[in-house]
Parts: sequence; C-alpha cells; structure tokens
Amino acid sequence: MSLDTANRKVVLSVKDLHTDIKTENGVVHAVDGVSFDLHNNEVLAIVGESGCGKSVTALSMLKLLPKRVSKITQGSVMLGDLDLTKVSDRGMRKIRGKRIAMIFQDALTGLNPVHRVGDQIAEMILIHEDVTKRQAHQQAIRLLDQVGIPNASERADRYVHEFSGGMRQRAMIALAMALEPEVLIADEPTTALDVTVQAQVLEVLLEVKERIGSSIILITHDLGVVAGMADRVLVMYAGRIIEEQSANGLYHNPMHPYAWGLLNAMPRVDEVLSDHLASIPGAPPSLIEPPKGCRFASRCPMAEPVCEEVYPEVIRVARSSVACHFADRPDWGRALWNAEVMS
Amino acid sequence: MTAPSRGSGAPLIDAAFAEPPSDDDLPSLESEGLAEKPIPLWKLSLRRFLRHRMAVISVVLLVIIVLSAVFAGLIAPYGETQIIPGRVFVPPGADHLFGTDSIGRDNFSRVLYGGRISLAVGVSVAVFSGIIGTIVGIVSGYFGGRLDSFLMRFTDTALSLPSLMVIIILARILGRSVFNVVAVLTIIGWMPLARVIRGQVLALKEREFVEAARALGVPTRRVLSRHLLPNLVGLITVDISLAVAVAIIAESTLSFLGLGVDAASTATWGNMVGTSEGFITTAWWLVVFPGAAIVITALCANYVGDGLRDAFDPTLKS
Amino acid sequence: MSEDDILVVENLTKNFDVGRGQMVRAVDDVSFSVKRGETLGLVGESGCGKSTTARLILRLIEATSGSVMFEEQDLLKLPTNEMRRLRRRAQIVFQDPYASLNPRMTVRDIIGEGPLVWGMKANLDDRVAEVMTRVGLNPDWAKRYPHEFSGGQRQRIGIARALALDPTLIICDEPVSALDVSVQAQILNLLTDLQDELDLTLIFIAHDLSVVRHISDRVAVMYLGRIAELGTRDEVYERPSHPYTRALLSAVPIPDPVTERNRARTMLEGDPPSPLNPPSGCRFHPRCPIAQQVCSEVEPVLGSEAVGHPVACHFAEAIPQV
Repeated sequence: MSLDTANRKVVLSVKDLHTDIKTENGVVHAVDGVSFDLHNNEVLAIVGESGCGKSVTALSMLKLLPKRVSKITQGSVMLGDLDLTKVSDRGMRKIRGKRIAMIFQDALTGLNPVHRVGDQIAEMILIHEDVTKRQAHQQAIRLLDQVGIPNASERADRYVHEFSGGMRQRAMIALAMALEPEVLIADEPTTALDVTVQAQVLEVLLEVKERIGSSIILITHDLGVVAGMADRVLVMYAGRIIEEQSANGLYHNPMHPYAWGLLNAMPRVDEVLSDHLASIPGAPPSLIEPPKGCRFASRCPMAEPVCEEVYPEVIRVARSSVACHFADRPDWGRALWNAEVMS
Repeated sequence: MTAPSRGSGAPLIDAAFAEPPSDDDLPSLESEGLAEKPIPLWKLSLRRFLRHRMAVISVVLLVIIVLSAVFAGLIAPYGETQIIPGRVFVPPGADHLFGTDSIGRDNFSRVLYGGRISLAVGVSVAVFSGIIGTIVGIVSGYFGGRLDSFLMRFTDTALSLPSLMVIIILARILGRSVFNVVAVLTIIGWMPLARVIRGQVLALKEREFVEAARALGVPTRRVLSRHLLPNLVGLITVDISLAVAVAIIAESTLSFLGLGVDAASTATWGNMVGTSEGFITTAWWLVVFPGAAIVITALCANYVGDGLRDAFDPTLKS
Repeated sequence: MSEDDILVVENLTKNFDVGRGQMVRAVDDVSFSVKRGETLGLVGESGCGKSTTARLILRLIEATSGSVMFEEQDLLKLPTNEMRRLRRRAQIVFQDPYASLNPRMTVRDIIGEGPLVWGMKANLDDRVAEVMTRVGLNPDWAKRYPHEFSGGQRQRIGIARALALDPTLIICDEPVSALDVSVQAQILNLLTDLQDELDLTLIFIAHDLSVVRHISDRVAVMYLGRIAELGTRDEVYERPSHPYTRALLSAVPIPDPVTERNRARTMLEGDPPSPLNPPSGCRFHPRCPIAQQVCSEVEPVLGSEAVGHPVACHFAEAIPQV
C-alpha cells in the first residue's frame, strides 16, 4: 500500500475550485480554493466534518449541484485534457457514468425507484455502448453477480425498495462500475449501513476497483473507514484543504492541530485510551463571511495572534502539505507525541 | 503498536483539548457560531412570507376588499336595496361604476354590501370548521383507539357522499338564512381539516420532543397545549385561509341555486350572480362584477394560504 | 436484586402488532441489571431492539410482559400517576438533536419544563441557569430558540433538560450518533464528567462499538431482540465469546492504517434478518460461521457456565480465545 504517487499518471486534477451556494441567510462559500490531484488506481479520501465542503466538492466536479442555488465561481477540474467546469450539461451527461461515476449514501438518490434494478444498469450500458438489449441485460446480471448479489438473474428484475440497505449499495456499485469509469466518487457510501454490512460493501468496492483499475475518491467522515481504504487523505475544514498526506503519514504523524484533534477525538474499539477524549471546543465558523485568518484559529489550542490575522500558506513537505503557521514548531504536541511512539 | 497514544506524551495539547468548560469558562457567542442577537420565530416567518410575492399582493388586495365591504356604508354611493327610478339596466359608466340592475339598483353598491355577507360567511365557516376540526383532529390523533376509529370512519363516510347533494339537502331542511348557510357549510367543512390535523398529530406524537415531555412527567393536557398545538398553528392557519376560499365559493353556489341567503332582502355575491344569470347576454355586468369579486377573493385567500405554508415551514432551519 | 442494583429488568418482552395478524417481537425476554453509578452499554445493529428497550423501561411504550424494578418498585405495574412521579428519577436523552427539542419553545422553557410541572416554580430561572452552566451552555442564551444552535449545543440542551429534575438514572439513546467526531467527543466527555460529579447511573445505547467501549463499565450486546452477550467491558471487548460479538468487533474499522489492514476479519454473510420472521433456534445461526445442526433447532439461553460471563451460544466455550 505504500504508493509511489510520483510515478503515477494523474487522472483528475482539481485546481483552485470555488463553489458558492445561495441560502436564506446569504451566499455560503462552501468550497473555497480546493486543489488536488487524483492518481491512477489510487484511493483518495476526503475527510472532514459536516459542512466542511467535502460533498460539495464532489458534486461540483460532476456538476450535480442545482444551478438555481449554486455556482462554480473559479477554478478548473481537469479530466485528462478536458476542463469539466467548461463542459455543457449535455456534454456532462456523456461523461457521467462513462468516465466518472458516483455512489451516494442513499441508494434512492442513485437508483430510480420506479425501474427494475437490472433494467437501469442495462439501459446505462445501452446508451453508451453498441450492444443489443439482450446482451446489455446479460451484462447487468453479470455485474450484479460480481458485486455479490445472490440470485443476480432473479434480483435484476426487482425494484430498489425490495433490496436491503447493503444490497442497494452493492447494486449502486454495479451501476457505477458498469461502464468501467476512470474515476469513481463514493460519497459516504456506507454511512447508512450497519458495521457488519459496511465491511462487506467496502470489500466489494475495493475488489471492483482492482478489477477495472479505476481510481476512487472516497468522501467520508469516518476515519476508521479511511484507515482501511485510502492511499492518500485530504483533510478539509471550513471549505479548504488543511492537510494532505499518505494515510500512514496522517494517522501516525498528523501535522495540523485540527487533524490531530480529530484523530484523538475518536474512541477506539481495540483499546481504551483514557477517560477523556480530545475534544475540539466550539464549532466551525460560518462560511458566509469566513474569518480572514486561519479558519481553525478560534478553536485551536495553539493559536497565536497571527493565526487570526493571516491565512497560513500551504507548506509542502515531500508529498504532503499542511496549512498551519506552526506546523514546524518544535514544541507542538505532535513532536512530543512522536517521541513517545518512537521510544 | 504505533497507534496515536494520548498519555503523558502531549500534556499541553491534551489539557487544552480535553478540559471541559468550567463555570467561569463558558463559551462565548463567536466561538460557538451563534448569531449576535436572537432571531424571534415570528421574524423568521415574516421574512419568509414577504418573499412570497403573490401572497403579499393577495394580502393587500384582501385588505382592500375587506375594508370596502366593512365600510360599504361610507363608500357606496347608493343603498343596498335603494331603487333609483328610471335607471334600469344602465351599463357601467361614470354615474354607475358597475352599472345598474333590472329594477334600478346600483350594482357597485350592491357588490360592496354583498361582500359583507359573502366574506362573513366565508370567514365564519372557516373559523368554526377550524376549531371543530382541530379539536377532533388532536383528540383523534393523540389518543387513538376506538374514538379515533369511530371519528375517522364517520368522516370517511361523510366525505364519500357527494358534498353538494348533502349541502342542498341540509339547506332545504334548515331553511334560508345567513346563520343556516354558515351552519350547513361548517357541518361539511370541518371534516377534511380534522383529517389533516390528525395526520399531523400522528407524526408529531412520535417526535422525540413529545416523548421527552412525557418522560418528564408533563401532564397530557400540557403536552397537547404546549407541545402539539403550537406546532400545528402553521398548518391550521394555512388550512383556515384555504377554507375561506372554499366557503366563499360554496356560499355562492348555494345562493346561485337559490338555497342560500334570500336575494330579496340581502345581497351576497352568490345570489347576485344567481338572480342575474338570465341577463348574461343583455346585462353582462350584473354577472361579471360579483363573479369577479368571488374569484379574486378566493384566489387571494389561496395565495395567502400558500405564503403561510412557506412561512410556517416546520423545519425552521436557518 | 442485589443491594447496589438500581435497575433490574427481567424477561422484558414487547410484541408489536404490525397488522394482518403478524407480530414483531421487537424485544424478547430481555433481562439485565444496572448498578448504582455505573454505565451499562447497550449495543447492536439497527432493529436489534435496543431503543425499544429504553422506551419500555420508561414506559414511553407499554411492555407486553416482564418487569422493571427501579427504586424498589415494578415500574410496569405502577398506576399512571405514580409512574409520573417516578419519572423525575429516570430521564432520557435522545438521538436526534433536531427532533428532540420543541422548535416553538425557548431553551429556558424546554429545560425549565420539568421543574415547572413538578412545582419548582420559585427558583426556576436559577435552576435553568445552573444546569445550563453545568452542561457548558452560557445561561445568557436561555431566551433563544433551538433552531439557533448547532447539533452539539442542542444535544447539551437535551442533557440539561434531563438533568433539571435531578434524576438518578439517565438513559442515553444514541446521544452522539448524529454528531460530528469532535462534537461527539465533547458530549462523551461531558457525560463522563456529569456522571462523576452527580453520581449518575447511565444506560448508554449506541450502535457504535467504539463509543460504547469508551464510556461503558458493562456492556450488553443485542441481536434481533435478544441479548447475545453480557459482561464487563473487558470481558466483552477482550474476550468476546458470542460469535456475533466477535464478528461485530472485527467489522468495526480501526483508525490506524497499519492495524486496520493487518487484521484478521470474520466477515459475516448477508444482512441481519427481518424481526418479522426471525430464524428458528438461535437467531444468529444463518449468519454464524460456527453454526451446527442444533443451532437451528434449539434457542440457546443466556448462561455464564461456559465462559464466566453470560453468553447465549451453544458453543461459547468452544470458541478459541485470542
């Protein structure tokens, strides 16, 4: 799993993406300057808490946000040589499913409740590929079988609501993978599932990814899921990426105080750490008028006056990056904490 | 084992992150992302209502209509039943804004006076239906059981009868008077409202804040009055405003059929249309003006209902 | 009933009539006890009956049979007015920070309602301010409405409402599952502190096994309306003896890439079956990796002979320990 991303082809490149959303109270700058590369065959996780902009980032990339209330104001999303922010709606329809597919938290968003599951997958194949109806249907059954749906040929004729939660997610994976897209965006794919079912679905997701060799953007709030799935992780906070690292690096050596706090706020099933969890006081700032300085400053135990004033420059170290004024400060707890781990 | 351990390793951070807020270290507004000033609920609702343009226009129109009916005595150039000799079937013009009728009464004045009865009937029917419907709906929905089954069977049966037929029969039995028209329309009108309220109560009753109140030992009366009713006010208001429209049209229908308020003594928009329909080709103004009053008022009431529905949106998330 | 037991639940059962003559046994013959001052975790997947159990104990829904002994009385047999009196002693905190607060009442009215209906009108505002401070809310915010607050703050309001009556027992029904990780930690820390300061007994219901491990002294694992395993935190997490507990624990992701990717997993097949039509014998047998013939025929009883703590499995002693 130690991935040498440097030698890998970049399949998708997001540069300085800004997305605004209109709400009752004003314009929310939900995504405010997000840049990252997705490499061939990697799993890139975007983590963060609700409202941090991770889902809006994904929906912006696919232009799935309602036009009436949202707007990409700046930036580019390059899929190969194609800038998706400049592609027409009609053009996007040819790209969605074929080159980038998406899996949602709720299968009813991704699957149509009034059509049979098998028919939906077959139709998608028919639209994009030169096959007969019969062949498409056969292929749909094969796909459902591959994602571990028992009696696939019989289940293909059923409707989504007749599927259990786990089966729905599997069916959505089958639909998303039908045309072997280069990129798969999975937005909280297992959040609504029980843990035993979550484990099954995640395994299916990785299996399918290996088989067709696509890259996955995994959007989740669950750092446990990320640990098992991701090669690289982006941590988002208040509309921006505040840290980017390999999964190993992030979990063992988080550089941003927020990332540190988040990791230590999670209780663990395999050990009891202490009576108190690290808890980050307060709540994220409003993104209608975000603070001009570091957005985490008001909650950060190490904040200095400069943090309130100036947004920290992104520091790049090898293939990691962090946006914190004091990421390299020697007395920052991380250093002490590492010393303990090493000893 | 290289798990992030949290022990003596990072005492500074640890303390800063883990310390629970103490009495003299309470969160401030900005650190918790709270607005400077509390926003009262009514302000939020008003803001939403004002965004609904048609509803705002409708409110203005309704106010004008209501005021001109209430002050008909001051505005109207002639009396309700006053016959102006020699002025029969005068078309609309400078002397008679809406023309005159077959026996020489001023149509404009009669539309103003007629509005009094039509509006009064509409509003009273809506309010009475609202009260009965709310009580029945809450009792039925909250307590359930046999009472609920009985009430719902009863309304099912009543609602499945052709309502116009029932209204006509009732009106025939009770006779023609303003009071009786209100009574007849209320008897029919409360049932749909009761069903809507009941449905809402069934949903609210399962909400955790109602469970929480029960867990606190809050007496049932208080659960109904403090927890259910305030959360139904939006729905009830919307329904009443829609019911006004329905009642005004129903009153017109009855009057048109000659079963409503007696046209000989009192003008209503409905009986004005009803008694003049024969003149539609010769004196169109006798049908069109009261008819327009009915349509405009009903339409406005509907738009106001829509606006209120938005304003009382139960999610209330900002 | 031992002396330090504050709550003893015995053979608690709830059948829901779902129409067409069908019954769902949402909670089936559940027995456990809670000691004064401890936290009992009640954990399981959706539909296992854990939230129903909470509501049965507080009689928010009426049980079909069984008994709930609390402060020397069987709650299930109390007449309504006496039950109302005992409600002051046992409170509940809910999952959904949006649905659990009346949107048309101010924070003061929400928190103060309990004391108000119990006749503590005199120092109501002081009382409200006191509990608000205790849960980390600024008392100046008492006049505001719930919609102005974030999820975590709302959950604090819910906790303050429960505390306002000075209860001895608080049932927390998934109190952190709707919250973000950092806020979840705030609330968990708050509950731990309150328990220490106020000598509270907690029943903590959750589907998140990590959270339950963090906060509980003892843990009961439920599956399809029954308790599969019951023990101290270490017994359940370090020496899980029911195959379901083991599978559940191995399915929970660990936030550490190295550990997470090198774990041996017991992957369960399929979804939890519908409670409408539970499997015969042991309810877990269709998904169980070690099921034998007997498992589909005989329902195992919750017994501690095999491994020292109560496990409902025919082969509890046969499971190799790690």
